[in-house]
Amino acid sequence: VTRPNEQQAAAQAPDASSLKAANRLAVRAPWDEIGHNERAVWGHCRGSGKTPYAVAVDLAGPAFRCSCPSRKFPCKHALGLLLLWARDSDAVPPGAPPAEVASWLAGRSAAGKASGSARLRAGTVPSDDAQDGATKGGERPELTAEQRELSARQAAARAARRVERIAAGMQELDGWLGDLVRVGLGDIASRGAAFYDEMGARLVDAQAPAAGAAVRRLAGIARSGRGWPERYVAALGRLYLLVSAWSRYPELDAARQADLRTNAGWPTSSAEVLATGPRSQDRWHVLGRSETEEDRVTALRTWLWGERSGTLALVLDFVRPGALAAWELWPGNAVEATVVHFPGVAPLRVLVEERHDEASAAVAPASERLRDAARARSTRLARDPYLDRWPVSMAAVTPVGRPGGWAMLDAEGDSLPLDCDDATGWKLMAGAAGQPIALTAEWRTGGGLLPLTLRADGELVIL
Amino acid sequence: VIGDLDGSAWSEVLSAALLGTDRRPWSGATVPGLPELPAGPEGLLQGAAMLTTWREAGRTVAPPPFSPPLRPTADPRPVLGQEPRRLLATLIRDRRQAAILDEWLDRAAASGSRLPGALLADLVPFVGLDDEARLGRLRTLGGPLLAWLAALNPDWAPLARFDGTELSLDQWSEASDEARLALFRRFRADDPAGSAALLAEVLPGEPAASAVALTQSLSEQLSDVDIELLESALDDRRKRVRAVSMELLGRLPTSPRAQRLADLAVPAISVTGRWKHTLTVGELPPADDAQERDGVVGSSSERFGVAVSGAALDSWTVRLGHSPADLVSWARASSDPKAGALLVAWAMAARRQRDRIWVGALLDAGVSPDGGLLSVLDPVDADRRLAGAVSAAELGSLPALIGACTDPWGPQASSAAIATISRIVGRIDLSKGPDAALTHAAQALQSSLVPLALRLDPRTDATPLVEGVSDAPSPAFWLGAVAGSGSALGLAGILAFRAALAAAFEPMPTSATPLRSLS
Repeated sequence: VTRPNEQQAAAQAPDASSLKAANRLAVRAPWDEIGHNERAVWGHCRGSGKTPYAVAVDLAGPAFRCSCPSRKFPCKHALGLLLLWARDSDAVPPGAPPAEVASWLAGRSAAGKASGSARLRAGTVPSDDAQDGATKGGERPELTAEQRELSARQAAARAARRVERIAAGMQELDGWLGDLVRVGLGDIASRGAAFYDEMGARLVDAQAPAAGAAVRRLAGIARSGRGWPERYVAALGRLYLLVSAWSRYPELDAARQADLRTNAGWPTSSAEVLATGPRSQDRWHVLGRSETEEDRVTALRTWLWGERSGTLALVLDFVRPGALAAWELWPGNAVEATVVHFPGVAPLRVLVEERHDEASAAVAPASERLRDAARARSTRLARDPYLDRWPVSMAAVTPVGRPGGWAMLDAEGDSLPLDCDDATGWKLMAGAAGQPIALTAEWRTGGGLLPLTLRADGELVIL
Repeated sequence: VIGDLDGSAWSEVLSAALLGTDRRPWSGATVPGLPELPAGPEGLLQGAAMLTTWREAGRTVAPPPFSPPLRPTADPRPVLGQEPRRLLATLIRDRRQAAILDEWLDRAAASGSRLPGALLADLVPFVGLDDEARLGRLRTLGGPLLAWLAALNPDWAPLARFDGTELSLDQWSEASDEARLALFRRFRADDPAGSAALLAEVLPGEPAASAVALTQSLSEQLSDVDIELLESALDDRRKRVRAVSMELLGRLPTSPRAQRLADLAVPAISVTGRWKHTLTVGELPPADDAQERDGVVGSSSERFGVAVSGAALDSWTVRLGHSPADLVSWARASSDPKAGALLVAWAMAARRQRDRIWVGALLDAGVSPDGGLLSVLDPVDADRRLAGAVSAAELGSLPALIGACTDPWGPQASSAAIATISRIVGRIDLSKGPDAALTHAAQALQSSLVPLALRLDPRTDATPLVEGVSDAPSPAFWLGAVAGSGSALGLAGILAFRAALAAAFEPMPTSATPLRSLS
């Protein structure tokens, strides 16, 4: 496992004050008995108390362990140790872990194997479970053929019931949408969030939480200022697309059914994806990452571009707000890896199953013309009308603009609008200095392109 | 033709949805190449779904909304090193003390390198746009790229400060106040004597604010060639111009004003006695217009202060026939209450006239050192003397000493500070019941530790103090200021960060650290 850089280590902090506290510990002075091997880094941190805290970080994960009573996770000691190592590799000598660290690591490996996630060595946690409410499997006893068949039949029955419940929810949503357009949207902007909560909650009860969240988002769209009716009706249109497709669920093929389930908020479980999904091995370039807050969790999207296949892929993690998952998939890196694709007509989402080498810095593949990037997205939208985000990697575009209106320009003189705050806009202008730069962005359906990274002066800047 | 190219069907869907199909029934629509959009509310929703998807899939490039701006002038400087940039990123991310930022800016601006644009864009809002000294260093560091950005971004206009390089002296009368000042500074750097002559010519016609700024700008490269101009400015009709001129003349002991004030002040002091000398302070002559012109006005003690601090220091030794060391020690020994004022005024004169012998005499006689006095001495001597004063300081006097010496401290004084604070901290026990005076003094020291950390030699080892605090009778009281608490860095943390800063900019000589003496 590679040593994280400072930015990657700092990204593990649960909040800003923890990071500041950890920064004070990221010096050699308070540490004793520190060391690292290819799996972990460990040490004893002298604090205000008599007994030093025993700290260890499992880099495959990453996972943190500390004997301090802090409820922050990771605590400042674990984070400080990681930061110290990230800043100065010489500060933490290589060595063999002390017995307690070794047994902790062994325990983690065993638990990982049992749950099947040890295969995810790149550290991507199969975390849609958090959304789905399913429990992560522990050690399963051996089953007889009869028992296996029984449990498969039970699972199929459960799935059939859920399809029915979602379909019932969609039927209610159909009626609700119909009422909206019958009455008209004239004074919808004056309605508060409460107006949407009931329909949203019913969809959650019907086990279609993503549809529920989409209904709740209407409240914000109705108050989004100039041009809101267009965005609002487009959002209604997208909801209706889902509703009308659900009415035909039984007739559709498996891939389309999977798309509908995902968009209703019932994603295929990681275990199932790992068991049945198609694999592809490639040298995956990390184009960029975006974060969005979704109900108490942060959705972290990592966009990949396969160097040999030209495939675009998405690693989606749900993490605690403020925390980032594995640093292996860091923008500007490339790694030879096997990924497993989620089901769907044109699915972007993958799980990283196995990494075949160390991640290393690399310049990502990119399009030359904005027109080509837009066409690729159109083609994908034609196959998957539910596509909500799409990565764009440009080799040479010039940012232009002024406060409130930013865009990028290619060599052909074509442009696409950028959807960013003014601070980011000026950062792009400053980074480019009027010259073409490499830029990656996330194109959001119904919105603009959110810049993710830029490369200027030979260095990647994460925005 | 396929689809709703002119957006007319979409507009119909929008207005129907806003109005509601109850009020105006939706009768459907036909869009070339798409299935027929049916009537009724369900049909309206279906139309919205279809057109939204069609429009989204059709989003493509547009002609540029703005033409790209002209490129900035190329900056030939190398990019600032990795480590200094990393430290800056830490400063910005952790919102560290602004004073550390100043040190970073000083070093970065002096390094002769440039900052990558994206980092520069992060730095500007962090530095802010209200401190002119910081803006100057930011402009140096940012170079042509920053000037280009400042011209594009109205919020950054203060960074586009005019530097006068495109102007010539012929354009003096048309140039703005700011441009004239920049032009004058540039001219003065090349030709100090010529600049004084120019200022003498233009000063009467300048508006008050600009006249003050131009006169004030003489403080750089101030020399005897400026005396004639400054003497004549004492008759300027504007009070602030006169005040600035007097202040600058106070730095020039060969000026006629310094001689006139000596004529006034020296006779007021008398030394009597053959074996045991006694220094007596008398009165100045009665006020008159000539004294007023030299600023000798106000109460008798104010007049005395102005006259003594403005008099050429040499005149005391020459006219009274005694060395500075003798005069200072007799003034210290004098029972005359006015002798205290005399010492204060002498110290002021020694600072302004940068007279090493007088500063040495004053410090030898036990006058408490301050930044102004120490800056006159050579750095090794200043360091040694400050170390002596710090080592002798106690809880009551140390905070004032720290407050008075704001320039960077040398290595000896820095180590002495750590040792002295450890010693003092080890003796203070705040748990023995309420003691308002002790608590107050301890708080004064506690709150001076962070400012001190910004001045100490960054190589100073703070470990003795960190250990001293944990063994002290009241460790909790000191811990935050020494080792940091929450997000604030304490003395030890600031020193560690500054040591990293010094190391990151290593090839650059640090002016703050004196060379080791050979003795």
